[in-house]
Amino acid sequence: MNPEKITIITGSSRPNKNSYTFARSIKNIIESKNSEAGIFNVMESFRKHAVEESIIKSLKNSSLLIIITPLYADYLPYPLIWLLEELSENHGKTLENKKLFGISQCAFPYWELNKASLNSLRFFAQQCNMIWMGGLGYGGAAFIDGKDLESIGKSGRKLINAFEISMESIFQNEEIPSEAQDLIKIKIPKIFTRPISWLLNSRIKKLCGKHGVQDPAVKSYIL
Amino acid sequence: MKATILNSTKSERKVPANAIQKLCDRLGKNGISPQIINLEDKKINPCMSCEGCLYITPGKCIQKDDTAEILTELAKSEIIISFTDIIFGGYSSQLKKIVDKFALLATPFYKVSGGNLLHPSRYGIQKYYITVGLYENNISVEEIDNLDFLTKRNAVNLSIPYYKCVVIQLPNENGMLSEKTMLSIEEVSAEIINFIERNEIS
Repeated sequence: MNPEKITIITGSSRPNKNSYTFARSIKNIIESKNSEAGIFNVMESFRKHAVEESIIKSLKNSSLLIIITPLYADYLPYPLIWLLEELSENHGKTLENKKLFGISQCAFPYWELNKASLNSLRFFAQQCNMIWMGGLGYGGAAFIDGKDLESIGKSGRKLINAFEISMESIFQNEEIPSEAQDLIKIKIPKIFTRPISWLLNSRIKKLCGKHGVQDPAVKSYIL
Repeated sequence: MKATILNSTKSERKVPANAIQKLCDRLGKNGISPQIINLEDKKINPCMSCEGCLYITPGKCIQKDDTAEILTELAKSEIIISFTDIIFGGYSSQLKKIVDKFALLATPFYKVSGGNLLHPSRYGIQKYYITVGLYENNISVEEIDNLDFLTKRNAVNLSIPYYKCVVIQLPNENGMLSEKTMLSIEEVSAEIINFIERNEIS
C-alpha cells in the first residue's frame, strides 16, 4: 500500500465536538498506515466567505477527501452546504478523480436519519467527478458528547473498528463494505423508546432548572 | 389560513418569481393569505448548537440577526412553503440557513410517536410543510427522492402532519418562460392547492 495524503473536513459549527472526535480517531488510523491527514473545520472558511487556501492546498495534494458532518435539522448544516457549493462551483478541477468518503452522525439513536446527508455527499461526488467510496451513518452521538472514542467503552470500540474497516477498503480503492455500517447500527428495542424519551426529558428539565428556566416550551415568538 | 413562502432563489430569476406569484394568486383565491420572505435579503447566522435557545433565551435564537423576524411569521403560519434550487439532491445553503433554525418551532422535549422519538410542536399551528424544488438539467430520480425524504423528515420531526415535495423544471435557455414551463408552474400550484384542500382540518 502506498502512503496517501488525506484531507478531512468537519462540517460542525462546534469545531471540537463529535465530528472532530470522529476525525481525530480516523486521523490516528491513517497515520498508523504511514499516511498523512489534515483536519479542517468548515467554520474557518465560512467566516471568511471563501474556501480557506489551506484546504485547497491540502486537497491538491490529497487522494482522498473525508467529510464528517453532524445532522442539523435532518440534513447537512448550512455552512457545510455552502462549502460544498463553493467547492463544486469554484474548485471542481481540484476535486476531479479524488476519492470521497462521507460520515454523518446525529444525536437521535437512529442511524437511518443520516441517509439524506450521505446521499447528498454522494451526489456532490458525482457532480464533481469524484470517486464515491461510500458513507457511514451513526445515530446516538448525543452520548459521545465530544469524548475520545477510546474512553466511551463498547460503542467507541465499534466505531473505531468500523473506521478501520472502512479505511482498509478505501486504501485498497474499494468501496467501504456494509459490514462497517452494520457494526455501528444501534438497535434499540421499541420497548426502550419511552424510557429513553423520559431520560432525555429529565436531562432537559434538569438543565433548565439549573439555569432558572421556568418554561422551556414557551411560545417565545408569538408572546 | 396563513401561508409563509420562503424563497431562497435569486430575485432576478424570472421563473421562480413567476411560480411564486402564480402560487400566491391561487392561494389567495382559496382564502389563504400568503406572505413571501426573500431569504436572499435576510441575514441569518448559522446555528452554533450553543443551547442558548434552551436556557438563555428559551425558544429564541440568541443571535442578533433576522431569525426572529422569520420565525415569528412561521410560528403564526399553518402552511410553510419553501422554494429551493435542488442542490446535491437537497436544499440550497440559502434555504438551509433558516431551516437550521426550524428546531425552534418545536420544543426541546421528546415524545414517542409511531415508535420514534420526536420533538413536540411548540406552536401547534403548522399543518402543512411543502418543498418546491427547482432544477435545470441532469437531475436524477434519486435526487428528487432525496429531497422528498428530507421534506418528510423535517415535517415528521416538527410534528407537522402533512407534507409534500413538488419539483419544477426550469428553462435553461435565456431564462425564457416557455409554454411548457408555464404549464408546469400552473400544475404545481394546482397540486399544492389540491393537497391543502384534501387534507384541510376543519
